[in-house]
Amino acid sequence: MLFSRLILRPLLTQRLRSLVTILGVALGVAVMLGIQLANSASLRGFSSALNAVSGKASLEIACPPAGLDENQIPGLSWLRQWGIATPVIEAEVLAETAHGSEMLKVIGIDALRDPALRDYALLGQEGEAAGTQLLSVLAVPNTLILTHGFAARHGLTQGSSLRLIIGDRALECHVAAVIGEGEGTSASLSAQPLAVMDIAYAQDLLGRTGKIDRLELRLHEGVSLESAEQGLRQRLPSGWTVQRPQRRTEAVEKMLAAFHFNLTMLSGIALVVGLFLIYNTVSVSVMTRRAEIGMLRTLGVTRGQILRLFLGEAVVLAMIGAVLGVPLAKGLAAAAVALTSTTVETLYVAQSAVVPELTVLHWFAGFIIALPLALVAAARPALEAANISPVEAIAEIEPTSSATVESRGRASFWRRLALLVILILGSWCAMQPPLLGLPLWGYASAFCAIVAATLVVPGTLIWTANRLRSVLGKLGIEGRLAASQISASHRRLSVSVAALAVSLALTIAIAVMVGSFRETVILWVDQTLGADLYVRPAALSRSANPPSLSPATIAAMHTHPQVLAVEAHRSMELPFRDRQIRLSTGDFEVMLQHGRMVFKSGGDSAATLRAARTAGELLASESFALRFQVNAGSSIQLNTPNGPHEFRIAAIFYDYSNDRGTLTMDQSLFAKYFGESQPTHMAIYLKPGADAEQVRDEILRSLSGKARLMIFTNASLRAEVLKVFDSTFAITWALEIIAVFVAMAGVAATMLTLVLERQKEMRLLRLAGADAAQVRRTIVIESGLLGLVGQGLGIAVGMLLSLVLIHVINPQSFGWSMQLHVPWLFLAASTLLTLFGTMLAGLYPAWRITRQSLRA
Amino acid sequence: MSDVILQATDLHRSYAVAEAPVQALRGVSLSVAKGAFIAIMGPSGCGKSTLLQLCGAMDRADSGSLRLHGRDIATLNDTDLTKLRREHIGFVFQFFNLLPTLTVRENIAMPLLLARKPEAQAFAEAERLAERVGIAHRLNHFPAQISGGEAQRAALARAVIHRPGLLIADEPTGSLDSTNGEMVLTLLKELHRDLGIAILLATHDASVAAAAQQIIRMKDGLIISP
Repeated sequence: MLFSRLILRPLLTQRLRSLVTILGVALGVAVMLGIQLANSASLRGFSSALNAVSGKASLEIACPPAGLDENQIPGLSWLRQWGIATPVIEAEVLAETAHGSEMLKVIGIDALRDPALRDYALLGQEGEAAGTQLLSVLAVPNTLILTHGFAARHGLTQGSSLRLIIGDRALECHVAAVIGEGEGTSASLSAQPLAVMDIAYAQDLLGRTGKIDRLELRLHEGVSLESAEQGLRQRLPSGWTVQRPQRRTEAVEKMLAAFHFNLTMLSGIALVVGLFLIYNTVSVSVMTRRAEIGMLRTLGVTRGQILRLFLGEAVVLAMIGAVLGVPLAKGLAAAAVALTSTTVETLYVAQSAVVPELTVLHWFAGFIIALPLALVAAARPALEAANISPVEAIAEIEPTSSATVESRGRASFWRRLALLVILILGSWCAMQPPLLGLPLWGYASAFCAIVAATLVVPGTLIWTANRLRSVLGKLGIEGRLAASQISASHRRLSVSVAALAVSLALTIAIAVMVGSFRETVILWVDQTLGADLYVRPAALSRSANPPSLSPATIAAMHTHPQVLAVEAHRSMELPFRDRQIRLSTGDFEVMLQHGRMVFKSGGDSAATLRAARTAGELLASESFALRFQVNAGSSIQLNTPNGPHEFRIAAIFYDYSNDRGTLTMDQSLFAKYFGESQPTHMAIYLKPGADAEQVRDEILRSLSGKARLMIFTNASLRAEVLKVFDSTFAITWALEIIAVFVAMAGVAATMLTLVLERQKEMRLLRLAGADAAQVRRTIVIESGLLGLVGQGLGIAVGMLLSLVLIHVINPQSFGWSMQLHVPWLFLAASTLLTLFGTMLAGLYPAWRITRQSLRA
Repeated sequence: MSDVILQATDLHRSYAVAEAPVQALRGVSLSVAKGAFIAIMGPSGCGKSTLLQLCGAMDRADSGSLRLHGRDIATLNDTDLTKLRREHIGFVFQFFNLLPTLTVRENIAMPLLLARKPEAQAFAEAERLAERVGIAHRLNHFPAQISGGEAQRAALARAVIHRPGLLIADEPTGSLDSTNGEMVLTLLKELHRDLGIAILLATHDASVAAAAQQIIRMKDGLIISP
């Protein structure tokens, strides 16, 4: 009864405030859960594809990065004692059909052995296809079997043809059969964008004759995985790897961990702001019902009952918020996937992310996110309610009595002490190394800064209101009233202003970080992009060992009369200490003469390159150095086809192209240890006076029909880099905007509550001669002033947070260092926007109050 | 006729309380001349406050006419009513009704500040009046820091700072002890005498009403005497 009368009824009466709070919680839950769904969607896309493709294979034998030589396979006949081994080669290609283009994974298999690992339920055929059937289907060159999912999307059937773009080459292929849904592994296989070819034709197609990516092994029944893994490791040549297919998912998970972790942290901002709103709502509930609480206490209601009443209010708000937030999360997850897919594909893995359907677990997660946090948020005001003394509440003692002033003085002292402790703690956290590979201390430091911001809000409000009183007085009595109201109501206003300040601080911090990052990248691009043209295959494959450029393309570059030099590169993935890193090779000779690299140590980059080339040493990217804690002069061990080999790192270079870490070696060094390789991309230096665009057009014309290339001029590549950069941070901005929106709504709700509570004063003001416009102006000025205080604190704390982001979180997450760049224009614009937004937030309460009757 | 600043004729006003309407005024006519001091007496619920609210242009009657300073209230919009209150009417209530966030000086000066008078002039006038009502030493204090009697004197100063023609006082001594009540009443009489302001005062207290030149008694929404 009490709960319904004292809590539920006011919640229904104060509809706007309740609605804003619920909306805040719903958005908080939705954003947090949505990001989790999006993160798991990108991993699920990868792991379901991996599981479908790996079928019944228990172990994979590989020799990255160059792959296994198929001549070595006969020597592995002893593998039979463990199980059935079958070779696989795999690559990502671009498929073009009448219905559009889509990345397609092509796997080359041994048709006779493969059915032991994968089920092929071909459409139009009974049961699973046996090896001989499969062989007869794939016996013709350039034929492939497509999965039903892909074929249906592109309107392809048996006998149809499609064009595959492999690296820079285009090839017409024919659909020999379609894998139906069938049963067993065939069902999951049929949903993937996958094409199956005979391994020999696939090797030709991918330009890797004689090579396979891995041997997949299905163990005999009764053979334990652990013993097989151990037995194989002992017998296989050093440098070869044995792993369970799921390990590749784990590697991707690790690769994405920092990216996902940072997104999760960002998504928490909206939730934190939502919780501020709960705190605010419960606080206002308590403050406006002090007399009722006092009366209840005199009637025998216990402190515990009062505490439960107000905690119950938070639970109701959180539950409704969660009920609304969980379905919303699915929509947000889809949007987040769309916003992050470019980043994930550009920096990490090709994936086809599908947001999972909501299950009971997701609903459970929604409530788990909202309820405990809501209880924490409501704890303080609820405790305050429980401690209200009956006499004090009924007498409505004004908070300016000397006793209260004293207690305020004490509170102020403790607040200052807490601030000092928090700042020291925050500084200490900022100096700690990563924990479990993640910048957890960095986030702890950022959290300290946020707590510090909330602690200084009450003092800042009073200070600002008092300092601005005379200045605002110049705006008339409205300004004076606004300042005095803020000073008098600073306790109630503090929570809303803190929520606003925190969300603005985070927005500003992100803006400073992104701005600094962008400026750093621009500087890096200016310093390193020295070539006139950049060439890469039209189909950008994210395969571990991507298809190379064709000899015709390479020849066309070298033979063009305006070309001065060609710098060929190959880039591939390499496992290193349980992670996937990028290994790139280049012609150091050409780089010495024409290229530019910026080394952390500074100095003469040509001399550094020359020394590395002469000594057979590696160059490591900054992210590699930070992730694996190495420096110039460190030695690292890499797996080569001939066993592990120690390489010395000559220097650390700046690189912002990926955060996984890159090792660069001269192509002669690569050939010596890993075998010959063909380039995957090239940088072209033209003779002085040559027109880059003209040369590009001439090269493309000369290769017309023979190569599918993307050739960027220097300027267009720079623009492309910034385009990718900006799309990477689109999700960041989206999350920030949601948080700020929720915080602004919080200010509106608080203002409404405050002006409704001040109805008597407003009436008095009207009776004293204030017209409706003057009352409205008072409220709007007050609201705008709150916005300015929020923004002022937001800038101060935001700058502090940006230092943590730039110097702690970012290097520890991604291994990128950057220089601080303050986006003054953004700060000015956001100040104006906040002022405008908060003044707008005050308009509705102002309008509401001026519609009230003047009758007592 | 030009001496009459308020002319109310056959005022009716009812309020919806739950389902049943309550007839607060059932045909009240009243005339207030310039410089008059009229006390309205009657039991709780007799319609005193409703009549003061109508006379103070805070509310509109359901029927009947009310002319204030020669203007028909019914024809005025909200802006005009505000202007009328700001220029011609002052209010004093039982519970002081000072704005808690403004100092005493700012509270007193508020009507002038709202009328966009220069701050220096408004504050100088506030100080002069504060001196007169005996609270000059409290000018920089906030309402919560002064006594009830001082707060009501401040409210009185605020009510007359813009030299209104009519002062509406609703139980101005109702919350004060006898000493402070007497002090406020004396001040009211002095202000009435010195400034020539007409006063319409509602009270339960016969000794307060005795200070007025005319006493009107009300019962059940009607004037029963004189």
